[in-house]
Amino acid sequence: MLKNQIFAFTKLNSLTLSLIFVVIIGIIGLTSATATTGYLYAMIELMILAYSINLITGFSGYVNFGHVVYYGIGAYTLAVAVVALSNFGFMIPIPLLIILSGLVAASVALVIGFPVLRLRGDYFAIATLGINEAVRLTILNTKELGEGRGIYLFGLIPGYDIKLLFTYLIIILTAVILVSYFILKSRVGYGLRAINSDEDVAEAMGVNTSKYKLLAYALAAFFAGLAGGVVSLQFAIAFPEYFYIVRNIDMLIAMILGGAGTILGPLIGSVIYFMVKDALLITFPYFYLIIFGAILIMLVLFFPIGIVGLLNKILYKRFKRRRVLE
Amino acid sequence: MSREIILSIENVVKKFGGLYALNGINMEVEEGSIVGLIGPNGSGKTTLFNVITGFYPPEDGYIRFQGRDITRLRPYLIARAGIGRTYQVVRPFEGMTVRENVLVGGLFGRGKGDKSIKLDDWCNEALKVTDLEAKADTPSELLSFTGKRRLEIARALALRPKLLLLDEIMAGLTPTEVDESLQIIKKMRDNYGLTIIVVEHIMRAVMAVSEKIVVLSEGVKIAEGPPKKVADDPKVIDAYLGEREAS
Repeated sequence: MLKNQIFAFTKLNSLTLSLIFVVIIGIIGLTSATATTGYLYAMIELMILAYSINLITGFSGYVNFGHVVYYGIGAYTLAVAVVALSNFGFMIPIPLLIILSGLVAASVALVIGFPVLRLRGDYFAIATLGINEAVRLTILNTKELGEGRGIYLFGLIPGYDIKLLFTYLIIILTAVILVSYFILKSRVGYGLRAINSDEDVAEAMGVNTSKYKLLAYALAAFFAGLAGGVVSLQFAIAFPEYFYIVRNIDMLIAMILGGAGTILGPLIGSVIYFMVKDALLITFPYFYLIIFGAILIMLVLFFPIGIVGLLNKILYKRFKRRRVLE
Repeated sequence: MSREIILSIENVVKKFGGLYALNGINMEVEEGSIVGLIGPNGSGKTTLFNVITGFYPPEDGYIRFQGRDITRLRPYLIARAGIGRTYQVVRPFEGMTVRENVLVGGLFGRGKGDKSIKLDDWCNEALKVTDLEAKADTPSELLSFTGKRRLEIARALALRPKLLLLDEIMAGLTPTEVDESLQIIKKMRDNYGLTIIVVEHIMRAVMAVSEKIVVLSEGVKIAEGPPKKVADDPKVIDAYLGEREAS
């Protein structure tokens, strides 16, 4: 199986297509004016988040409304670490700080996921909403974490450099795409897809469902945490707004629009979602959320298979193979 | 010639609220045998399967599989120990092809980590036994009803179980298909030395294939023995048809 996975790099498939796209967008972002870089930067952040929620919600089918909590925890981890280290007059390299954010988010996910993943379906979705609110309110009321004002990092971290931040995000994006692909193609991937389809039957087929769900949940949290760490660097502040539920909806919709549980899906979905949302915001500054809400409802009701699912339906006629694209 | 006991169920009790779904069931299954489990609707047959496979932990009693107590193990560990099952209402993994469905059983079953047999070979074998080879790359949700029934068997077989629990795999099939299914059951036993417990409502089928029949009624075992003897047992006839009125 591993041999097949290494072989995957040498031919045209969903993985290589995604990576080619990342390279192109990376080159454009790093060579163009900072305004363009900023635009692409926001798009790539959404992509990372869409890929990370795809690891749990797309693969195992557990709809997660509290995924943004790990983004927030990542952001706060970096901020707290920076402040604490500065108090000792000490600093560690920024990439290590970002990785720390991911690790802390994943650790929290392991602890929270253990009880919460026992719930299924709607109950899980509601519980995850609760977790996000609980963490946000705790931070709002904890003096050491800056309450509603947040934790300021001005002067403690290097100055704003969009190209450098962009590079961090490109690296994280590449990592999350690779991890998603190898998980999908591995034993774990089959286990998660089986859970997605029918958890009881998966268990009867020998799948250690709790272990795989927890693994996917923690891994998803890890990547959300990395993205959170970078956002703290970007704004030089960690504040409760990072736990804003709309960001969770954003990543969820971007993933579903592209194709849940696929490799190309979060990428395509994020690009379209981001551009349309941005264009709507400029055209209808006051009504765009209303228009957008209507589009989202239509999407979930009539287009649950996503763009990749639709493309596969078309390609099925030609190749007589399902899942031509993944 | 006495064979080893592969599964023994000792005094198993399962309650749902105040209702006894299983009330002190004792049963022994010999290795390599085919046992028919019959009884009227609601007598506890499927519940017994769910208890054996760990989905409903029993309130009382023990289940021993190959001499090992598996009473309160998690279902996936019981599956890996070597107990495969099918579902009365077919439940293929939708969104996967037939082959991928079978592969899940192979990847996580008893053969996990066993290098002596190639996974692909084993999955092909499971598809071949159940006559699904030609449909291997079909999306599982597009299979016919009969095909889905077969897929349930193939998937359970890919686990490389020692004991197979078949829950009404013939319900709703035509007489010809029932005969084919009987052939599959016999083939699995003879080729792989499997022990099989069949829950079935089609009496012709269950009588033809089983060496021993166990009859449940309202959560209690009311008869046990060779098919012929059980069929003539007045208690069994009462359970199915109601008591004969005194005339």
